[in-house]
Amino acid sequence: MKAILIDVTKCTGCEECVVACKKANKLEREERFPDQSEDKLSSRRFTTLLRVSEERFVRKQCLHCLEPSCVEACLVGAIEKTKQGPVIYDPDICIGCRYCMLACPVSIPRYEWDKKLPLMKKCDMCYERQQDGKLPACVEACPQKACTFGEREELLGQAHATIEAAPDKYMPHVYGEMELGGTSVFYITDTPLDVLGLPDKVGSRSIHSYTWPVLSKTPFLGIGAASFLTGAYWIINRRMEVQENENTQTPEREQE
Amino acid sequence: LHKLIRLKEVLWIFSMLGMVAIIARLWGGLGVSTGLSDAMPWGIWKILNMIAGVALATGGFTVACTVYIFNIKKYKPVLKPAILLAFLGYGASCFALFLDIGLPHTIWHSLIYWNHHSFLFEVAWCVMLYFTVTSIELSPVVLEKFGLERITKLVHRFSIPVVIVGITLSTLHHTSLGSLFLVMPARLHDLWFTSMLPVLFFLSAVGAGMMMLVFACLAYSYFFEKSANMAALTGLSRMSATVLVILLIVKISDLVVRGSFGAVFAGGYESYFFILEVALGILIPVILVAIPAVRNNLGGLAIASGSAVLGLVLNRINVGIVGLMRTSDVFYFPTLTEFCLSIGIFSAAALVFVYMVQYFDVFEREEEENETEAVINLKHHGQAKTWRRRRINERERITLCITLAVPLAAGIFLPGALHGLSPDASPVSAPRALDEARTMLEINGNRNSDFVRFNHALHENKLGDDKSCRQCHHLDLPGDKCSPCWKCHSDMVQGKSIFNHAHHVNKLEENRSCEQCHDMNLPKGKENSKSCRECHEEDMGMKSAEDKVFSPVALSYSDAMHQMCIKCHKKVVIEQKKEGMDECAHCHQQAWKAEFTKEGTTP
Repeated sequence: MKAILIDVTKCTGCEECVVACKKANKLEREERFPDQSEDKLSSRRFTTLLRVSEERFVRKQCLHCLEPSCVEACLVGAIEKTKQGPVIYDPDICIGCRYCMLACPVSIPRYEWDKKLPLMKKCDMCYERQQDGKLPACVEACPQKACTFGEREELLGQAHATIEAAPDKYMPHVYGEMELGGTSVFYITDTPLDVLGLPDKVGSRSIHSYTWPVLSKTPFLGIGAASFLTGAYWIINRRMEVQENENTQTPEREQE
Repeated sequence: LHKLIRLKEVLWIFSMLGMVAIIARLWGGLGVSTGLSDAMPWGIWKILNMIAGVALATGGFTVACTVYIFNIKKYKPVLKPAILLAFLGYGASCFALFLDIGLPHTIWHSLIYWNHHSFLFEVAWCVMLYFTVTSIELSPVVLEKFGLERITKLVHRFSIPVVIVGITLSTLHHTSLGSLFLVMPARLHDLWFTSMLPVLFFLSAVGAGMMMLVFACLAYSYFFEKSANMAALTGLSRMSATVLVILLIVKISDLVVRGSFGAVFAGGYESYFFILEVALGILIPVILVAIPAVRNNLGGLAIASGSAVLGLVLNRINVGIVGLMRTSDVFYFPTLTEFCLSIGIFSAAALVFVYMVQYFDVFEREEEENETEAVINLKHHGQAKTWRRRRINERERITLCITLAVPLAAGIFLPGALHGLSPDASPVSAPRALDEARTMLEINGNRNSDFVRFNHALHENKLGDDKSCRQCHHLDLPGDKCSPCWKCHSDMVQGKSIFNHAHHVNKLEENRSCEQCHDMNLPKGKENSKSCRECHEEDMGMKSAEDKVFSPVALSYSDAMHQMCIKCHKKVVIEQKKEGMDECAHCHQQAWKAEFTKEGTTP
């Protein structure tokens, strides 16, 4: 499974990744929508640079979670977590319910509010480029080599090795290793990355762990309710019949 | 029946407003007609019409359950109205959902593409199936009217299995509607986010659904001037109050167990909304129903049931909108289009209810009815006499209402559909001067709070000193608007593609120009053309700004800066062996620093 490792200390904030992303995905010129969020992500910008501190910048884009809540949420299954790692979206299946937008804990999916037949838009880790054996556009464009693309496990090892090699420089934490149940985009950094908006409340739990305990009980609830009702109906009707037979002098109206 | 006609008129007007709102929505798209945004993607159509609407239609399955399963005959008279209410509630919800989704023409995808892991999938299927069940349950009412006894009998034979399926489906989707919000642990406010959401949603739907039925029956007796079946209504309200008390207990104990009880009185709008929701939805109806004098009084019962209904609606709005507002950091308020469509759908459902009640035997005929009817006829004739001069019949009045409502609504919605989305809406802040003489300005051109340094003095010089003003400043435009940067720097946004083919054709003598760049034997395209560098070696190396006489198109700022700097930097690397001078980071990090600390950049 592929992943991207971002070394925040190497990023200079040149925004080449943003430009490359726009080119690769053929995104239109941006306009500023009302109520657009601070991170400037929109249906025309899938990756964006946020300032962490005076000198540090961090790239925000889809984290491609291991257990993505958008995939869980989509009622028609238009979003898919591929084996290769990217979370991809099929616009031909989407009905536009926007539940994925609510479900994403970091608000990555954006909507084409200015279109009459709008679609959801988000980073797909350049899935098509990957199929052609190319790097994701943002990784390829980075002049500082702050982003690395590779196998998830290898990158994790690499991230930990980098941190161990320079423990004074880096925080002893790989962002994305545990967050939201693990993601396919990691960050190593010397400054806390609160701007990314990874929810503290959720921590290392995936959204799946909130919904599955309830969802898995649904069939039993259904079967339980149906059998309870059938049972109740049978018992009550049986008693009524018995009662009716006992006192035939008070005939009840037949049930419709 | 004067009241009834009034009611119909009002409902017709709202329905027509809704009708035009539907056109506005389909015409303009979601962004234009709603106040939704990326941060708040669900609005009142989903929360109010779909989620609350379905919850209010619960009366159908609770009454079906008491009558068919538990065999309590007392509620038989309200069974048909309950099922009609359920049918309309679900129909209206489906319709609202159809309009709310971004691609309405693909709604059938939900039938074909399945995702078992989605709560919304479960909701969609249960709602669709239950809608079918209510139509089957309701069909005898319509079939009887047309004398199709054989089909009616067939339907009756299957009534018990159908009812059981219906109740099961209802249980499933009412809990699932609550579970929908389980995916938002990080977003939904602590007051509402709990793993008990499915239970809370189910209980509140059952409780308020019965109250909605009570309200509908009371409205029927008010507008149709019929006596209300007090035995059934009081019984229903008492059952509902019991459910609401259980709901209150579950709700509070859940808050206490989660340790969020303090949040109820923590202040902030969430607390107020929560308290209001509990007061309206639970406390007021329960207290009112607990008092026998109020319970047996039509007005008292109407207040109790109305309050419960409002409370449920508020609860759904709280969970779906208010509770998300703080983390989303936007204020969502529905547009007029949203309001009208929402109310329009409810009104249309109410209209169908009224007409169904009028023309089919939804409410069972009582013995005293003939009497009341006679009284009404008397009244009616009396009225007819006094109103003779301007008496228009019902049909004419309603037609009048519709004809007035449609152009009114069209006038309100269609031009721009009110304050919907338009990408240029956020204002540009005025340029700020960096020095007193205003030689340098900071302009926030694209409104994203990244300021661009604008050298006013330089522009003034270049464009001919005293005569230069009017090239950018237009005193005849509203607000003395200036020309935007891109008027001259036309390639500012499309940073690097500055090749103007038409210009080249002109410059290189029209028809004879082709072969100067293209190989005439090969297909014309970028691949088979001369590279820019072959002619523009000088320009691209940028000897100085004045040398660039060829293209009248101004360079983008970043291109200009890069070309000016990079060449020298590269030279320095070779000549003086200063490593790293040619890397982006050499300048960029320092430039950021300089801007951030406001020490000013050195040219």
